Amino acid sequence: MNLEDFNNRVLPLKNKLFRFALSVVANKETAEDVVQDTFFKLWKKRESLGEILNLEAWSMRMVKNQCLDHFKSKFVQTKGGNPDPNQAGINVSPYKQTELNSAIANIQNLMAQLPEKQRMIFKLRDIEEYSYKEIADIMEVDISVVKVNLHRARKFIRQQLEKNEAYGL
Amino acid sequence: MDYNIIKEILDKYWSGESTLAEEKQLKQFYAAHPQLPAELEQYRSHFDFLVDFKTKNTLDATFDQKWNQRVHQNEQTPSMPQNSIVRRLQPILSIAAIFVLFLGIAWFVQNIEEREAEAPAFVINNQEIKDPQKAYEITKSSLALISKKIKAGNKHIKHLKKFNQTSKMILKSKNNPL
Repeated sequence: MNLEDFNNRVLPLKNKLFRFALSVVANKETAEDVVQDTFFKLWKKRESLGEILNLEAWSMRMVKNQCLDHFKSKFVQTKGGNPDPNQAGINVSPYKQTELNSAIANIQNLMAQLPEKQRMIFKLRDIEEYSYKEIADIMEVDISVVKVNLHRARKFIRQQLEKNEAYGL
Repeated sequence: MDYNIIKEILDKYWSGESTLAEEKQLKQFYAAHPQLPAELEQYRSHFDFLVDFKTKNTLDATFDQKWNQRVHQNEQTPSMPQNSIVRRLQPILSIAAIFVLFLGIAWFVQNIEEREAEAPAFVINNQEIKDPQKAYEITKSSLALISKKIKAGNKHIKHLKKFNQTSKMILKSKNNPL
């Protein structure tokens, strides 16, 4: 596989890989570095990439492992970490923007409270829209584990949202 | 849209039983309806977040540039390319290298032997004498000559001894006349 083939097949995955890395490392620069390193690892294996059936799932799995390695090496504590404030917000009026930012920041805080595995599975499903089978491949777990973790993550978010609503937050 | 259908899908979603199509439907529904009854509105931030996170977190062309730069830098560093002729011939080249090394050692040893054979065996009076027997004879005659000269010298030393004894006797009688 030459660079042109690689850039046509692998490079378009960059955003999915980046968001997945961001879900784990909670820092844009680190997530970008993780994706660069993953691409480089894939590039080194370019001769055998043609034999891989699901290159996307394989790449996502590499990102996951790269992120976990990053945590092991840096001793970074993600639980209750610092979500990037720039991740929030869409183009609406300043008042609505503030309100929306605050609501989205609230969800981000809830995400940060989820255990790592639940958060990863949740984002793979609800943001990247992967099937249970694909998530199981990426996470290297059974489909039943994917379903249980997804259910727990959503249940937690629902409870927190309803609690916030009840307290008028 | 009937809110009851959305409520049903929402229930399926929260209990982890919804399909991907239904989940997509929920996101589209919240994006299309800015105002909803409180029981549906309370989940808006969640679905807004899902859409917002996806649209806002993308990598731009700078990432591609960095990536291509990294690959080109790596390609420029001297490394043996895979499946190159050099790599394929590596075992043969290794044997050839060992063969050349042995040839070198053999040539070196032979050269030393030749030099030793060519080198003059002895140098006497600035004259090169290759025949060891002849050199031995010359050395032997030289040493014999030296020995002869030393013996001749010894004869004269005897006279000196006699002279020494006599002078001692004279000195004694002078110091002690009685």
